[in-house]
Amino acid sequence: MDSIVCIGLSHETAKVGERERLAILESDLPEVARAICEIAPITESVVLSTCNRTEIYAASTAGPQPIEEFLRDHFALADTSVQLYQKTKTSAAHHLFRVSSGLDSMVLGETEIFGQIKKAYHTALEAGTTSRHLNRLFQQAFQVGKYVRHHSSITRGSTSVGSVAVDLAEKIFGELSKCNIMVIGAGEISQRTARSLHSRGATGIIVSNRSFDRAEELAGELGGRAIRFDDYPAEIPNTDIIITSTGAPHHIIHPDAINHAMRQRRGNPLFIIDIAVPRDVDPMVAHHPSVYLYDLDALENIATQGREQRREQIQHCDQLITEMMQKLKLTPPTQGGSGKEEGGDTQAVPTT
Amino acid sequence: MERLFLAISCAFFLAGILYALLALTSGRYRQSSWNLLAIAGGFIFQTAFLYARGQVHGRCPISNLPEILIFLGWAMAIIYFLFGPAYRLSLLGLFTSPLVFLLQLPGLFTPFDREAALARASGSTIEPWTELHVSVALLAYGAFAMACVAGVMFLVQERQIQRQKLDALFYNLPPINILTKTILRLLGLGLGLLVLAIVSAYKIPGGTEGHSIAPLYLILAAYSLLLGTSIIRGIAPRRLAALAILAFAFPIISLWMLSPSH
Repeated sequence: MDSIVCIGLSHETAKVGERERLAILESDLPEVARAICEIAPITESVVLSTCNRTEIYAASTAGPQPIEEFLRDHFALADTSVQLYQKTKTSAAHHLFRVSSGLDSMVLGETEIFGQIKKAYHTALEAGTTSRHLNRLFQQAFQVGKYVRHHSSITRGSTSVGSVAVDLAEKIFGELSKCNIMVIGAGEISQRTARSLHSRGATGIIVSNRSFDRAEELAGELGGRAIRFDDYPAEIPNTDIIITSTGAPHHIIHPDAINHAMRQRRGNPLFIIDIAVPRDVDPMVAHHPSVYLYDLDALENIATQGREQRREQIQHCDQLITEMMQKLKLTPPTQGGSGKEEGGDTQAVPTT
Repeated sequence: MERLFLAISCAFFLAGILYALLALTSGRYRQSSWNLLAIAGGFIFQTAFLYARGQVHGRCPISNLPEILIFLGWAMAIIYFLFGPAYRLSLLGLFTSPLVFLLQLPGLFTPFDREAALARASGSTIEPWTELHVSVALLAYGAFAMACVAGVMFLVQERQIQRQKLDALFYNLPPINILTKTILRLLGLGLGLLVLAIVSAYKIPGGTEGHSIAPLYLILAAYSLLLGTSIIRGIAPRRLAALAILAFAFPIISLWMLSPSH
């Protein structure tokens, strides 16, 4: 009787260099899945390859060994120390359920992995490398992933400076597509923050930098426009969100300038993200009733809080997975639900 | 029977509040059909209560302060259904339900004298303009009450952003810009309805004698000033929210002054 096997590596078991070696291009996924199915006695396969993991899910009567041999051969791993984890039967199913729930992700609780698993499954489905065992397993994984996200707070809160800034911006302005954003000083974190806002729909982006060429480069990337560094004060009244990270040794934005700008803004709020150290914005600016000022510490504190809140949810999420596995008539692994256990347990995943 | 309808309505609103609070404190709140269902259930039994009282009075059931307050709660529920889902105002129900519940609470302890009301109804005639005037004025008050609710939501959300401490409410409350727009829209709706209520008062046969509309003019002036200043000059949203809350004192005081029993 066929049973489920999972073999692969992830950010928890392999360094980026090792993950790169096993990374499979999206266009090559059907071909690899078919190649695995050609190995006797493997009947089904799904290949999941993201920047943080490469995993093969297969239905086989011979365990993971033939797949490991295939991978070592295909990726020329013979002379390397790359370690692949192997999971079988309910342990493999449990692992996939944790991955689909975002519990095995580098950013705990992130939702992108759910879409990546869906894509990997559909690619295999179209390539004709899935049948009843993996079809059922992946449908169950989607069900469990949704259930865990719906019944826990694993996706709640922001975990990076960029995502905190985006969440705050959305809770101040709602739709970001109507917001005007000004980036003062094209430092790395301000670039990342601007990109996060851009990815959520922000379009009216102005970049002001001491090096005008650099400003033009970033503005071009974000579909905005560059202005000379001396011109940024004139743009403040028309700006909803200011991201500032210059290398200035003193404050460059003062309460007088903001009070003057706010009179022209007729009560519309202004969100200032000051990522510079030393700070670019005089903290007195926050005394204006419609100005919301966040510095790097404030953003980092919220991100840390978000990460801690998500970590606190791990145990609850594992309980939810156990609950779902019982509902699905699967016996959950016995090692505390960490999903890190090697090998398989004695119970086969019912796949019929 | 009316009291039973009212008790069930209160139970629905209370259940909605408890469900949302429990979900929020456990950090697992999700906007779901349960929130809407609780308010819909409360609204249906509010309507049943008002219909039953209307049958007794033979006219719009606004014969005493408890009935007026229940009618006001009913108007708030209607405006909630108009604004909440349309503008995706998450948690509007949670903030509306306690106020509606409190408005209905006096009714639960009021001895509604059915026989006396029936006797009074048999000897009186229905004046449509009076009915229109009072009911539209109460709908206007409902809009102002919802502006007050949106103002409270704004201040709660804004406080979290200002204090740089974000909890479950932050992620569930609407953006403050949306709340500002909601307050302005509700003030506009309330003012429109209030103007209609004042105009209809002049259509009542015998004029406005016996129907003191001076408080309505005062409320019209206060809210017009607030809305006008906000549109023409611009007010900091925090001040607008605070003023929308404070201004609701005018309709509340006028209800007490104008209630038939007073």
